[in-house]
Amino acid sequence: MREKVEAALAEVRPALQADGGGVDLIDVKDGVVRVRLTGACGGCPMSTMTLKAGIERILKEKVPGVKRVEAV
Amino acid sequence: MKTISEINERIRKGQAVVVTAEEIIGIVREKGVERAAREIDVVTTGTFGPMCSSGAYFNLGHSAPRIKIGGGKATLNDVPVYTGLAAVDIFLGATAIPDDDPRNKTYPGHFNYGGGHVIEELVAGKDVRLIATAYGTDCYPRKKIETWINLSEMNEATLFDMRNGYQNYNVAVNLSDKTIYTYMGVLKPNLGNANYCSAGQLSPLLNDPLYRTIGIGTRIFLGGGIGYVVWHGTQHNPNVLRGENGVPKRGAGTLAVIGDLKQMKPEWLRGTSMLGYGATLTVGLGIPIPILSEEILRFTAVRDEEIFAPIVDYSEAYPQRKPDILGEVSYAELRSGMIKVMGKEVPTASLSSYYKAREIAGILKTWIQKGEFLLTEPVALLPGVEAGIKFKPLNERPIEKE
Repeated sequence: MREKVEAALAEVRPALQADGGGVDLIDVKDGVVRVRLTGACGGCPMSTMTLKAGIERILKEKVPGVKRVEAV
Repeated sequence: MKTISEINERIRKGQAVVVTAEEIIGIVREKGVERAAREIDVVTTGTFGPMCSSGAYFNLGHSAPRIKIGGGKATLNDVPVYTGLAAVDIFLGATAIPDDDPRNKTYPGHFNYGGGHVIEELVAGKDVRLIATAYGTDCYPRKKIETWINLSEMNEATLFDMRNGYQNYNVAVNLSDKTIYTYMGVLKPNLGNANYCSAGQLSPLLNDPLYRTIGIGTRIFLGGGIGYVVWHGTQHNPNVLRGENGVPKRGAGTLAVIGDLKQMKPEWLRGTSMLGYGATLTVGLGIPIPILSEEILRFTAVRDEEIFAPIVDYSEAYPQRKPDILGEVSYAELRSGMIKVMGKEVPTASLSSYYKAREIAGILKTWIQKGEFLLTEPVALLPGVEAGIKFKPLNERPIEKE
């Protein structure tokens, strides 16, 4: 599952990079994906929206079994 | 040089040359203004950011027996709506929040759900809970209704945003020694970060700085569907400091826009929570600019390096309405991720997504290229510098107690 999550995150990254941000995978456990938002995303007021409406939505679509995504 | 009807004829034939406000920059560099203006018909723009003066009005349809919600009270998913209208017309504002939201009692408040979130859920096709109470009349006897309701069941559902697409905006910083929570996001103490909110060279009104083409009746991309500019937005203020290129260096023009919510998409209307500040709606907006002259083409070729925004302290200057600014910075510097304020390196982040703005400009370009989206001739242009609009503060006058 971790490989699939990594592959899906690779698809998300260009969008984040266009806004000066990025995302690193920390771990995947029981369907919960933990990520670290980096660059501009780290201090961005819209990062919750990016996380839920962007990253979580895409991971749920692409990787069966993903329940939610949390930022650490 | 060209007219909108000539451009529309080319769009109908599938011959229009359409580029985005980002692409035009390289084209002008390569071909020059004169040739580019001759060859290009339309430049598309876009922006995607939180826009608080957004909302929607609905006609709910009449229940049996009838209820006069007008003058009563109503909520959608517990979010209060304005009912001071006819029997079943209501208005929902993007920043409205449930009465039982703790607000900033536990500071900073989370504002997890508000009017913007209701709008997003409705557009996503979800049922929402309508609860209304009324005083009852002979012709509208009912006093309470509780029901699920869906966008598809309403007669009209219309997005109406009285101020969108601000032409430039402040860069927010915090000079104090404690974290503050603002509509520009969380600002860390002692110049810990700087937040800005514009798509810069892709932003609609920054590509038409003197309002030569955008006016009342301009057809636009709104929330993933089609909308229209209906008026200048609230706080429209053309008379600000401008550069030699005509581009305002402060918040200036704004747009009031409207569109049928039923053809919009939740991807482009996102309920948004601002920690310690409130709820709002993030709106996708895109405007086509017809290249009617070399001057207009030159405006659309504006680059981030040529657009400047003021840096404002939100711990003191902004809340106290002091005019002080800490400097000016270009959008190229802002987008680099780091700016210098008072000699200190400060990391930047944008509330407005450049990536999504680019996507909007691209979608609009595709619509036009496919002949699905024709341009409209504005029935009136927006008030410009010559209108002499003065931006008024609220000067308080004490109310004498009798």
